[in-house]
Amino acid sequence: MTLPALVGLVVLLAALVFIGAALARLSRPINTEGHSGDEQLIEKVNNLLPQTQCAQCGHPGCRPYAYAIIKQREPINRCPPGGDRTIADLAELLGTTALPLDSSCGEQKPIQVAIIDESVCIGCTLCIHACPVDAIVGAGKLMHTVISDQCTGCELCLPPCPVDCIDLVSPATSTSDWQWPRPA
Amino acid sequence: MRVRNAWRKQFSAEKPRAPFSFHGGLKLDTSKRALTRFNSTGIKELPLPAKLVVPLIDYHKNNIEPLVNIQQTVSRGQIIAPGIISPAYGTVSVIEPCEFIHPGGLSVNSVVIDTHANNSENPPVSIPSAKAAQAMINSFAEQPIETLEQAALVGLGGAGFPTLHKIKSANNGIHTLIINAAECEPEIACDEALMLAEPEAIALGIETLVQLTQCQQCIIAIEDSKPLAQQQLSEAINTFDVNAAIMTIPTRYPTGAETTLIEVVTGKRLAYRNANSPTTKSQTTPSEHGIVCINIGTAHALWQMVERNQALDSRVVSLGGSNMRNPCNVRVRFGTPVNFVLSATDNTPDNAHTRIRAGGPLSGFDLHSLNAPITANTNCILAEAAFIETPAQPCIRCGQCADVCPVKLLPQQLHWYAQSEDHDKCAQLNLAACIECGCCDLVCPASIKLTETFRYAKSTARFLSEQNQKADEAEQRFKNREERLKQREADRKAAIEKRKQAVKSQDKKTNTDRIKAALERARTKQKSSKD
Repeated sequence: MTLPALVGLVVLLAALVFIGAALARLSRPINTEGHSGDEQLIEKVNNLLPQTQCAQCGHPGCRPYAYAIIKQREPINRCPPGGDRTIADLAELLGTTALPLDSSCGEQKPIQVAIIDESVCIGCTLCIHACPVDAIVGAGKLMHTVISDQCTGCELCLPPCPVDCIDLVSPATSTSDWQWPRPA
Repeated sequence: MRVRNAWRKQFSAEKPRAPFSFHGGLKLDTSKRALTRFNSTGIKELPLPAKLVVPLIDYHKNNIEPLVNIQQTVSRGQIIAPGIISPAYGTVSVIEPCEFIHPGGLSVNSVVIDTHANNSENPPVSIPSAKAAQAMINSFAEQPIETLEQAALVGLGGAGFPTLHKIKSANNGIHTLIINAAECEPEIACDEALMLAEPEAIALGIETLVQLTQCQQCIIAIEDSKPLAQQQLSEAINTFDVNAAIMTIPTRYPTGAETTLIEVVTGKRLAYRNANSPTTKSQTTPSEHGIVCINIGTAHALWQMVERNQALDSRVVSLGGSNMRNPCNVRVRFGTPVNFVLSATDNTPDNAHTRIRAGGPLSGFDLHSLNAPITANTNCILAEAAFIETPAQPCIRCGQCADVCPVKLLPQQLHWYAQSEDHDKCAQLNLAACIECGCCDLVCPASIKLTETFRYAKSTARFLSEQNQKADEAEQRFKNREERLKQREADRKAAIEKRKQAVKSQDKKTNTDRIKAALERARTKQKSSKD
């Protein structure tokens, strides 16, 4: 073999090794700020969940459910407020197939907010303790009320109420969140 | 004034610059132009209705809290909510949700005013001599710009953006002031009527704006379909020596839209908001480029403020459309219900099939209720025959929609993505820049409702992003709560532990001593009470 051919071979081999090393480095999950790959994935899943914190999935909030999906292989179809849209997004993110919503968790309902019948409320504070997103204000033996802008409609305040004074209603359409109708 | 005169001479010595062109647009049939159909070119003064309804809503469609109470007497021009004034002297009868001019027929919290019988009439605008006018304008311009707040001045072009905010948001100064007299939509003629009726007041209003904004140049843009109005205005400008040049622009829809007009007058295409591009995160407003666009009606209203300290409480409204019996231009006090305007001009629709629309034939929408009140945004009320819907056919990909789009979008692709609810893709294709002019609808041979779909997609994207923001906030509150509960539990445990430690550490002896001392104290107390 001539010298130029040998040099060429060496250069080619060096280039191949370099490219291989570079690809191997790039294929590893990128760790930023000390997050492991799993934690980043949990964060991404959590961002897709609707943050109602309703616990219908059997976990005490959206982040715990995201944790369970990644770490414990929990099915992705256990979020009724997110519905098919969230399931489809999760399936796309995780590279799995979209399943129909697990009906044992509940059914998808239109957006609703809780409202307290203030004339019936006895001020027991039980609903305040139950609300996962601090959307109810009030004090012991004083009237309570729901901050409807912050209510996620999770229904967790309904069971503890001893006088059954909480209702779920569809929120009033305000001018800022009004949408043009979809053309036929 | 004197400083500026030198510049003015230099500027006016130049030949008026030719307007630039813009992409797309349509030459619409202006033969039906309202003014040519109107029985009289004058502006009718409408009587004051017994009841005025003032919606408590700002430019961004947010509710505002009222500053008045029920049964309170309000004077004309009194501030009844931040940025909103009472259009007449009267008594607040009720504050409740009332219908307003909205494509969805929504209601919004409104102040209802029962007007009093002895309300002052609108005196005709008096025109002072050129010298007196200059003195008035100079003294007005010396006041802090915040005095404009009392005028409740908003743009009268149709969007109703607060004028003071527009001027103040130009942080780097204003070099070009554009007076929008284009009025490009057929059927709307309120600006033209105003130019014909009161050109002097408009000219003086423009001079005031020039002084207020300290702009380097002021250009009045008028379409070439209004030669008479242009002549009147240019005479008035010469009479009062106003520092402004008139530019005749071609009649081509939608030149009157702010972004298009800026392109026609300055040749500058402003960057539109693009959600996916990191470089242009926020929408660039004309003010950031030192350009301010103000409607001619707003200039007129400003002169009323200078001349008699009168806030903006009425506007000229064009009544047109094929089913309008007496098309005319009327000056309407804000808060006047639409049905009052129609009945006072003998235009009450005679059959149920007539559609009453607010806004122009292209940009407007059908009204759900005739009880809705006229506001600063209502430039036109149309009565049209019943709508015969042409069913949409599949797109034949002719590309005409892209040819006419004045903001260079791709309506065909946008329509595809908007229908499949792919909001990310719509944002990439810059749907937010769509000005909803309706040109694409007009040329579409397949009668596809493009603009309606874009309106739907835009509002849905906005709704979804709001929902996302709400979800983020809910998550934050959830996290805070978890942390709080954890902290409370930890505190409780620590307190128990501390108490246990305290009990343990105390000496038994000292404890018995303490009990003895307490008993002693109790005994002495008993004794003293017996004595």
